[in-house]
Amino acid sequence: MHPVAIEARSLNKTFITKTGLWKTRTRSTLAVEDISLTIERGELFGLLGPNGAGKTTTVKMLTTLLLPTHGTARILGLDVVQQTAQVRKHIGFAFSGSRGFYNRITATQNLNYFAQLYALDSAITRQRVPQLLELVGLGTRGDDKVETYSSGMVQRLHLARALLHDPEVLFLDEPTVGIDPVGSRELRQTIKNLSSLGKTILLTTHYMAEAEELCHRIAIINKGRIVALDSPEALKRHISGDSVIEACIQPGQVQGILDLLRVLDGRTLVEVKNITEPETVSIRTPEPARVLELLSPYLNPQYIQGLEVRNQTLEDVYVTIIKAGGQ
Amino acid sequence: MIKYLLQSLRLYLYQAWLSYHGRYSITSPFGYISSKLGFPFFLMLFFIFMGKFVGYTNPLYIVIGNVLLIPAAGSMSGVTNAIGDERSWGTLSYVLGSPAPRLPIFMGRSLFYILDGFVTAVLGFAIAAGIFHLDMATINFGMLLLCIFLLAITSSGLGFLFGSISLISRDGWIILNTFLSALYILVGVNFPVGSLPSALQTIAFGLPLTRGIMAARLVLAGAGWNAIRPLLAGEVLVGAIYILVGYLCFRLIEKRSLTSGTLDAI
Repeated sequence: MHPVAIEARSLNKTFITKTGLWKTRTRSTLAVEDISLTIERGELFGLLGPNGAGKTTTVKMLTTLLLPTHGTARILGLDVVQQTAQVRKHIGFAFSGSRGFYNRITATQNLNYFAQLYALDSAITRQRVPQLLELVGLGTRGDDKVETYSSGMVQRLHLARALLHDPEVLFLDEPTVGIDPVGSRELRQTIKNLSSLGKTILLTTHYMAEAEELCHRIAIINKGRIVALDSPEALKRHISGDSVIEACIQPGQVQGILDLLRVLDGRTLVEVKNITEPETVSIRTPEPARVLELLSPYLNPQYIQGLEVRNQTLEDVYVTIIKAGGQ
Repeated sequence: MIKYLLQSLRLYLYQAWLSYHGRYSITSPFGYISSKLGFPFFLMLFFIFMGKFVGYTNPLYIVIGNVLLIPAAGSMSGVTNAIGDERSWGTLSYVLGSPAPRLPIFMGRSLFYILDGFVTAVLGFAIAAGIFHLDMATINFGMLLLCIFLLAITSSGLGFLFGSISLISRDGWIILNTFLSALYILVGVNFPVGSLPSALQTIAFGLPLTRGIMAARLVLAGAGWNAIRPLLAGEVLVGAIYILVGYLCFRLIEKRSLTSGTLDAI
């Protein structure tokens, strides 16, 4: 048994697009640059990054749907370019979105059909399809046409399809997009259960809390490159030992408070979040005691209505890394 | 080997049923049957009135030609859409990302459209005989059915070709419609191929349908098997070439999409 589930070495993908009818212009876009990663069997691995960072392109290369321009990738020791058919038997994948099914037939008919694509025995299919529908919370809706499904239900059906042939390695591209909070929580629990059954899962997501809750390790990808890779806890430690102080300030007093904080050195980052009234000022600092000392005379409703001191979350780490341009 | 063939056959039949059922399941049985009867009826009525208006002595010539085009047009547009819709439904990644053999997936797209076109054309001939007095007393029904069935099969080759084009271009459907219009001129639907300029005749004989329609007309005129055999053989050959070209085109586009990543983009 190969110990490594997913292995990528210097993976690159450049898209060449041609535009114009008479004067053809060729444009090349480097979507993924020099991505290397190793994911052990049974690991739940998260790929985080902003839109267009190269997450889906990476997943598509690992799932044999896209050829790398350079580099190699192996799933359970099988080369994704040279041993495509074998790789496909061992992987399941689910991309986000409401497309991807034959909407005018039922969920059960859709799953039966895809089971045939994976050459599943009829008896196994008859047994597994209702089980999987039950697993993703669609047990009572299997005989409904997919066109009657909400986007969250389609999302869950994507997961059921990915599991049809009981693959060892799962690729889930933003699996909880469009799902309500209760449904998301259930789906996260399902993903945890799958992980506890020994499945290797590569997950892409925009939700930091989701990544923090689920993933053993996380890679942050920006502009096609991996800019950080570690466990969520280690990532938080590596970036800094900073604390975050969030202060709710009366709108007219924000500038005064900002002036007050100017005495702090460059290691403290102050950000005004203009999203609510009173406004929230977020202060990331290695010296929280000093900041609190500066703010304490203003701790009354005329100036500061509330104050929260917390450790950095993964979201803070992520924002810091992405804003720093992935350095 | 036997296991592989059985799996392929199962996949072929299920694919065939799904691609047809998935597209027509919103149509009620009443809507379906009335379209199967209504379409050929009004089509024939249109050509009979038009034939009389332009002074045609025998409007049944164009009526027969257009009824013979029904299975071809149905098969062609059905297969084109069945393949092209995969792109807009976003199912291609999942179908092509599976280890399933490609040929039965591809060929399965045509079966029920072929049968559907065949049924419509047969009903069309029944209407032509019952309402529009097409004399069918002396014809060999078996040979006529064979010609109609063959027309539906060979024209699916064009459907495969246009379907494959629609996987990479939003214009697949437009190209098909333009081509369908050209078929009215080229394949002997409204006037004999022999009346075309020689360059167009060469094109006509390079297309499916031309020989099949000629054979069906001969059967309707009372000709026997020996008269139509070479035409049917030619029809099978040309149709097979188009099906093969369509399949190769599909595989080429699949391969290209692995580099360009364009297959599921709409």
